[in-house]
Amino acid sequence: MSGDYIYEKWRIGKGSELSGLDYIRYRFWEILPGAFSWGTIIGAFIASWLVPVYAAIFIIAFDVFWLLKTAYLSLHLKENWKRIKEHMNTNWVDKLVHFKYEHIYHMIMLPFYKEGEDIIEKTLVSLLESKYNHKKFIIVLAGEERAGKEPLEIARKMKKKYGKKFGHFVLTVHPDGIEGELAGKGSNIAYAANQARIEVLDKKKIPYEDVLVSAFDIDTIVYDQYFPCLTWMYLASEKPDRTSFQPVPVFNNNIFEAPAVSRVVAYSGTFWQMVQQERQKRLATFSSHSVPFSTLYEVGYWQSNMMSEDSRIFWNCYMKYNGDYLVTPMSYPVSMDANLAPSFRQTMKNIYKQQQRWSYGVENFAYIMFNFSKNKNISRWEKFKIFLVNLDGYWSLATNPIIIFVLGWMPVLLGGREFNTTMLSYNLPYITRDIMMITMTNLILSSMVAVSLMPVIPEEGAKTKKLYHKLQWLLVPFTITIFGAIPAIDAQTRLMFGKYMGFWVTPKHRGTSE
Amino acid sequence: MTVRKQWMYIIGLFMVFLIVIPVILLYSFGYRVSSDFKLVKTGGIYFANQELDASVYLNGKMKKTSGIFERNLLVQNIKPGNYHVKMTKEGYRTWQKWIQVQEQKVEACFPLLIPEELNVEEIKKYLPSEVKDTKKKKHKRELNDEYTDVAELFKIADKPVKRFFPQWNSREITKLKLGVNRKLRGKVLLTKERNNLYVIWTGKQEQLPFFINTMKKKRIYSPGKTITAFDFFPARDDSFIVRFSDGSLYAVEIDTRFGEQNSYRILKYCDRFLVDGDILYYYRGSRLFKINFEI
Repeated sequence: MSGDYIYEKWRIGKGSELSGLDYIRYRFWEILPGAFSWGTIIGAFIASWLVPVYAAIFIIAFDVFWLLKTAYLSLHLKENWKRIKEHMNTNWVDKLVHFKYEHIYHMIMLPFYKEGEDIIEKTLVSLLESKYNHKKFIIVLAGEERAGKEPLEIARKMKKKYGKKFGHFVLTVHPDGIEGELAGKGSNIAYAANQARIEVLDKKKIPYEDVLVSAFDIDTIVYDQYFPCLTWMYLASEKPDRTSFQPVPVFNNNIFEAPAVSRVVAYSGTFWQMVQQERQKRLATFSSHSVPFSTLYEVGYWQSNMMSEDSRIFWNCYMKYNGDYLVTPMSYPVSMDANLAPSFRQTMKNIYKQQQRWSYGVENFAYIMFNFSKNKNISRWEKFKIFLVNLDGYWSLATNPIIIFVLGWMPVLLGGREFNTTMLSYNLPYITRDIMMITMTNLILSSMVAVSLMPVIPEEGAKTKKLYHKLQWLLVPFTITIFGAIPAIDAQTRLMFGKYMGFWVTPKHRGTSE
Repeated sequence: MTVRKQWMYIIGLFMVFLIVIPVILLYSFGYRVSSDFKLVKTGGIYFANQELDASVYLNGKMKKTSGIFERNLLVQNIKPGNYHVKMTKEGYRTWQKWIQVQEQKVEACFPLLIPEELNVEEIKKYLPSEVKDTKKKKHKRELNDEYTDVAELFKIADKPVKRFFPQWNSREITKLKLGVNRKLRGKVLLTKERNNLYVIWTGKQEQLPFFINTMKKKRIYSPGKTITAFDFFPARDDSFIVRFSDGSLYAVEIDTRFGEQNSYRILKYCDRFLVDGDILYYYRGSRLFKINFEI
């Protein structure tokens, strides 16, 4: 029973699409995460000035909390690391023999904008190396009209070269300027998936429930067992039409060419996904993911009026099925590009912009909370848990590094003379420093995991490089503040003030290998 | 990870949090467990120090030595009371003082460590010349740039400071009329009236340094001998240098708390002196010398 809730009515992209009380409600939820983050930072400043003793107590307690939280997350990381190694050593083709799987098709969405031929080609070649019947692949190369003629020429060339090697090869061109759409990946793949349905599934009478759609980026390189693994998980699933499948994105394609900062940021993202894989209840789809076509069709494809369609598709499904929807963690990697541009400065800029875009996933919070207010079929307890988990996630990302690395000094700087004569004032920097040093020991695990997930380091100077790849983790305090907290606050502030962001395509660049 | 395992971790870590937090907070507030297992309140002494390998002694017992990563030293776990503190460094004169420690409070002190042997360098007026042509008896000697620069500094030192971009921003400070009897470093103003030296903090009250400790004008030095000149100690605002009528030069700390003030003679005689950055310049007759106090 879905009650009065009509999911299709509330596929909102942003508050400005609504009016009246609904507009106010939606805006409230858009403002809340940013207000909460800013409230924390400003509150910490004011407390450091007016009640420095309480501020210092809070900071010490928070430091300890952060240390324990890091330890808790590291346990998840370790667990998932073991699981990934196990899954990568599994022969999924052999495992599949227990199922009837020959009827399963894989529709692979490859949206592209202005990426070079070599990037598209490498992705297609990796698909051909995949240990799954290529005739069951429906490749959808989804271009953009606004990108101009040259990318489409490349796409046609790719279709000519590789088209016959796959079961089906569809080339789509997403028209520019469709009213109500936000130009970006979501609108492109939504259009492309529907075109592929018309051109292939309906024509060939392929049942929708026999098709798994993998929404990739154009730089997504699959490991050879990805599709057997995905197929196995789909077939083994209790409710195959009520789940999406989430691989672990690793950014290995150009890892040896990317600078240390880029590598650390990229792997931090991977680690977060690995941790989330161990916490299924908190897992939403992110970046490259897979979803049954039947489900995708029922929910109306990816939302085309907002930016973070990759995670929104999960919440669309969650709302459509009144909470009866999950993400299945695959604990199996797909490889993508780490941020890299021709110059270091541009690389830094791109990292910031990408993190800002990812952090703009905060727009989902308003969608979730607004739909919760409309959907009475989901229990209040469930809604409350999701509210807390999401708010904590956005708040932690935006404020925790700032509390730890910046605000820790504020009571000493702003607390005034009286406070500065106390033992607490003198102990605060020492205690903060010592707790941070202990917390940093968790980075040993991070560096080990990163090195183990990387491709084999070229033999020449391998020892030195390995050491360098471990030492780079000392950059974490810098990266989580500059490329974690600040872009997150930036994104939340934009949403707070209704300055909605447009989609920014991360430029792909691969240099010459070391 | 199973949900059960997750909960086990959460509960375990939460227990750790509950146990650790009171311990850390009590510690940071200065509570310690005494030898008879009672919770006692302690205080501390903070040594603002930039010297490497300087050791701190409390009542004759060595407590800490400064290193590359920790130059400023915090000595904790001190029961309230009076302590004889000493800072030593090999080749330096000992700095010592009696300090009163209060519970849950930290007394900050600013040791002035002066080398036993000062590294005095003469700045020659002329550069050493190489006689190329032995037939020429007379040759023009080349002036040493450093000498002329320092001499120029001495010339302008006595004039009141007039900067194009003033370093201050309040009316009171513009009225300070800096000159031979008024010296300013940062927000610390030293003035000489009759034969007394006074200190005035010109900054905000909440930033008032502990070595001054009052917003009012405070007399910090009244020597028996006549002061002929004074200035801040090189690169420091917590101590100063005075020249007496007999030509001797002393380094003195501003801090007069606890009824003690360390003072060290650094030169037996000089005619004039000047402080520029880390360097003390002085004339003895027409000869110019410098002592670099850079750490």
